Amino acid sequence: MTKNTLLNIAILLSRLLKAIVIIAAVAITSLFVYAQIDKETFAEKEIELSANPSIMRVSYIESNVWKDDTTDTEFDLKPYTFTKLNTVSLYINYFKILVVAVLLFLIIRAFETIILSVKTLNTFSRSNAKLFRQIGLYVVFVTILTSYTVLRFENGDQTLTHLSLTPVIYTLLSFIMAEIFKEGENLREENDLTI
Amino acid sequence: MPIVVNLDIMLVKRGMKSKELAEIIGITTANLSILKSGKAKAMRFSTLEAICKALDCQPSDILEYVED
Repeated sequence: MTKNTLLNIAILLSRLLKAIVIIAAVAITSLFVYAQIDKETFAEKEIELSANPSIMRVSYIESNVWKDDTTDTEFDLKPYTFTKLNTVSLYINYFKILVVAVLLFLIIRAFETIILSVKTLNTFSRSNAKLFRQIGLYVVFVTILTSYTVLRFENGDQTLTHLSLTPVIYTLLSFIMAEIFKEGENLREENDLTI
Repeated sequence: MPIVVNLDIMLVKRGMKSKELAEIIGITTANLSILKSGKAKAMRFSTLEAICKALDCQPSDILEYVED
């Protein structure tokens, strides 16, 4: 009974997280489209990459501002405004966020499938081992995508390099879980075929 | 697997049907079929004992080692 309650809570949380990821992706897309249509609203909005370093995480931000050669003026005092953001850079970062959202959705969906199989007493199956390996790979992709961000502006750029130990631990755990479930499947098969 | 289960031969010798044997030793016909087809990974001593008792034979009459 307790096990089922916990599993139901986990399934509910997974579904909630999936909904949040979808809402976030839709919201970002809406904002992205709105910013294209009505550029004036965000024209003077300053964009700044931020880092939150901790024991498990190392972040490094590099900001460069250069002189505009075409007009013989001084350094731009507000180089990181939305209107000065390079279009290619904007699109690349938007699609990067979307890909990360899709990967997060897939991670949560895989996790939900595993919990559902535990609930139906089909815990040790090859598909669960495969799902854990998939989760590990998705975490690797998310880590790669989020570890480096570049924003190019007309007269400057911002670069964020981000190295975190947490995804490495999650990836290792996922692969270890995949091996445990694979071994569990072998044991279950052996038990089923013992007459 | 180099271990061959000669259950079919013993059943013919004793004139017994698979279903009958399954009922006597208390296993399902599906499990007996797994045993006969050689798909089984292991056999419990209790099962072997029940088969030997039902067919009035020795374990060597049922199990045989054949090199691959």
